[in-house]
Amino acid sequence: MLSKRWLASLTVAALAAAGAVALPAAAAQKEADRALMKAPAADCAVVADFAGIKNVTTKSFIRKITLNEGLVIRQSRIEGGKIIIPPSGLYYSTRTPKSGVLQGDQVLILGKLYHFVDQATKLDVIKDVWVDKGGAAPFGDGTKVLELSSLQMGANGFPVANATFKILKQSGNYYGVTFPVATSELFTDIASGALNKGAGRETGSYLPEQKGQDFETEYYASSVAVSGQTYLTAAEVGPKGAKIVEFGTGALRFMLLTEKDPKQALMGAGDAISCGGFTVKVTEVGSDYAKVELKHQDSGKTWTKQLGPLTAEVMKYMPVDEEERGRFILRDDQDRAQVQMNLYKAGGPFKAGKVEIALYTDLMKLGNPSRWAADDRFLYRPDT
Amino acid sequence: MFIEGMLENDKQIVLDAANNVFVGPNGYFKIVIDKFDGKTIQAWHVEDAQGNSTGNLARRSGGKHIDLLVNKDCRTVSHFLKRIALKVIAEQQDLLRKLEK
Repeated sequence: MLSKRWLASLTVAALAAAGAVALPAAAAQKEADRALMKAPAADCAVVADFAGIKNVTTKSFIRKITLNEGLVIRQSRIEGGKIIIPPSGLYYSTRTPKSGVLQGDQVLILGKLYHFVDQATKLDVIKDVWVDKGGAAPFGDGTKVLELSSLQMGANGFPVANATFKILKQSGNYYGVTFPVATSELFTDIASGALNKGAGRETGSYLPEQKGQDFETEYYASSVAVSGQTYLTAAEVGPKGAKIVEFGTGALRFMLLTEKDPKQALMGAGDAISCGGFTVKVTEVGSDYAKVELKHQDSGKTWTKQLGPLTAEVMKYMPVDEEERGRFILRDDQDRAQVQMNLYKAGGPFKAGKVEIALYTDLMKLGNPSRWAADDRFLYRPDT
Repeated sequence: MFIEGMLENDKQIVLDAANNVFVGPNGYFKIVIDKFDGKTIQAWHVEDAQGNSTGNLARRSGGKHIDLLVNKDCRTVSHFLKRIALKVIAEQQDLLRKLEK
């Protein structure tokens, strides 16, 4: 079902667009041979628990979270007297329960905890796409697909098509929510708002022969399916496939991590802290903002910014709102260090004319994908 | 929001009886082929950096490949595991019955 046809069509440009730390051309052109989106064989070896693949519980500013490691091998085979694992066929997985930035969450990689400093996202969209029964439509850089995972006829007891789409990710896993859609004149499309105030009945039980109670021909479906930012609108669902009007879903472009603990302080105007070759000085503290100066000690180069103002409005979608979040962050021009107003510190960021500041240094930038610098036989790739 | 990241092998991995060890990223784990006749893998295991070792992992595949899932608590792994869980439970019961005989 997931042929190499469209994987082979991946271009270097598509990969470059995928992340700030894109792979070189030679690596990008090999994407077609990768075992992306494949699952391990049904008769794979299973190890429920193993000392070296860990579960670690950490505490951020606002919560306790457990981080889990995993190890997967897929598409391995014996060929010509050798055991072969294709590119991307072996992966170490690090899993978190939706870690967020600015709130002190950490990410576990190969047994080490890294501070989750910042991230950048994108929204991938496809429009006017027909997907055959059992087929899939690639989107974004082509390493994920929207799969028409089931197309059931007669799910309601009469022969009308019901489609369920799933997002198949690079790891071979599906996104955790499915997207059921159907379109037929035999259904009332609830996307029209038909059930927004209910069907108009009172509490009770009804019989088919009661006047106005034709519930045996009253079936509902939706031409639209959603999960958070992800949306899918279908124009047509039939026995041979489905036509998508538009589908959109988010992905990561890059994330910034550091193994080094941040320097954190409640700072007044004139106060300075140093860490990892950088110094941050607070030059002014207002009632809802602070002005800071970041200096690279070796080069003497400085960057200045007003962090804030902090209002109820900007906090509505924090910390996920990338643009608003940027108002509280200052980085050097090479993304080596980040100063941030510590919005999620207990008691809030402003205390007695001072402001809670954190300075993160020695940042590591991980793209989608990028080479793992500590061992360049491996690629890092978010599966989000 | 970050949910999952992967470290994956960039290039094809080739193992045999002579070249029988693949070291994972940063030496975090090893895949070790213990017995392979060129057609069937009779024995292989995973080791961690501290020297802990799984048992022989060749049974489920009958030695035809080395596909693998490690750590049921990792949701990436458990999503795959749920697809085969009933089969695995039945196999385990069968093995227990044989051991009890």
